[in-house]
Amino acid sequence: MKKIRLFSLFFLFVICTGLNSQSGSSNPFYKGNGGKEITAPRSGGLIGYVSSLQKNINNRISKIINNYKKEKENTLLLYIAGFAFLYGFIHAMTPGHGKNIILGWILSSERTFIKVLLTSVTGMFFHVFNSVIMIYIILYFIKDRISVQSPVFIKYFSFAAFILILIIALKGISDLFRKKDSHIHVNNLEKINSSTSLKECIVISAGIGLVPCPVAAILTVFMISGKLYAESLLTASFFFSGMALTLIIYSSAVWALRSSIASIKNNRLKKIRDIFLPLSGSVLLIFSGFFIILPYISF
Amino acid sequence: MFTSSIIMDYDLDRDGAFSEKEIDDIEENAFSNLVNYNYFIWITENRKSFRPEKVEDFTAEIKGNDIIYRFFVPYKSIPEEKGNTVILAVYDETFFCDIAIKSAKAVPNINSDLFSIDMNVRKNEEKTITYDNSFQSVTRDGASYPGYVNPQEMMLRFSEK
Repeated sequence: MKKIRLFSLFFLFVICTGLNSQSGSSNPFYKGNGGKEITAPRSGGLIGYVSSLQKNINNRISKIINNYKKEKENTLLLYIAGFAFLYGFIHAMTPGHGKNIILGWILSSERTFIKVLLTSVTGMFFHVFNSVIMIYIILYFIKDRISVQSPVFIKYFSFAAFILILIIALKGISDLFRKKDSHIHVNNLEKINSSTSLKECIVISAGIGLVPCPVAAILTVFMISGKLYAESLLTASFFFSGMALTLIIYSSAVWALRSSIASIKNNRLKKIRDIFLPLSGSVLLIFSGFFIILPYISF
Repeated sequence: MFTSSIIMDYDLDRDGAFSEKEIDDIEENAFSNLVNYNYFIWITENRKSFRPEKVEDFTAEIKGNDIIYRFFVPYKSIPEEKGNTVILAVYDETFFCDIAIKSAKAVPNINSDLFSIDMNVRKNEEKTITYDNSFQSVTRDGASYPGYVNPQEMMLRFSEK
């Protein structure tokens, strides 16, 4: 009974998180990814609450940054850092932000906890600092008709992210078939799976973080417009820390649940544990990657 | 923040003003999507409501630290003997933008020889825009924030001279 409850909880968790798409609240002035028109989001419930919370923090932090531009007080800088952390924490809760990808990656194979943490942190690091670095490169080196939020720019990053995610997903599926063919004992298989290479962690992190974060980009531009260069990096660091914390909490929960299921010694659940779980993880990875490029594909 | 990102993205020659090409880019990439929001405009006359589906003569300019978007909303009203009352509201239901009517004289009368316009700005108490789903009222610096706002609207009474 306990095991059934555990399974139910796990799959409820998978559905609740896995089905949250790339939607959410958007700037009504901009078209969506791929230049497609977007209409007013009508999200209620938890997502609506998180979105409205995010809007409030956005309003607060922009007012504090404006005051800091005029007064340059250290106390205001502390407020900016605090709000940037909170903003990042809340922002990472909104749909997307690699949650589906990390969910699929953890499900697809047994991972060590430290590598799950590493992947979560580096994924968010790439996501935030990719934006910041691109802003500085565009502003001071390229100085041409290009924008971090331009659909063409995002399109290339999205396709690159899709390819990286696809590689990891296909590797997961191929490992699964190799297991089946070689008839190796399950305990040895788990050892093979848990030896996730550092390279794989970096690849999946890049898949999560390759598409630049629009909020980090706007925060950076807003600060650069007031010549707050060092402060823009400080703000981005706190924003990244907040986002990383959310993803760490999320991925730890998924990892703990997956480990609980993997430790169940029930032969009737063997197929679910050894085949269904890894396969569903890889399929989820493919779908997550596909959703990233979906706006750019015309049927 | 929106202003900073628009200036960075579209004032590409960094001369502090938008050229015609830059304005076209802004219209295409950072304005035209508002058609899905009917440009945040609600017009009501004789209990009939009108939501614009197109606007004309869009232009954008940088003024100090602000960006000004100007555009023309075509709307026809048939003059009545007793005069016409038009209610004009401009608000964003998603609360991405907080829109306020700065002055009670916000609508200039360019046909003042033919018409007179009486204007008054009021809050639409029947309409609420939620910015905090928890609906928890917060008091800060003496002001109360209930989690929602009532949008402003202008009542315009036109009469022939």
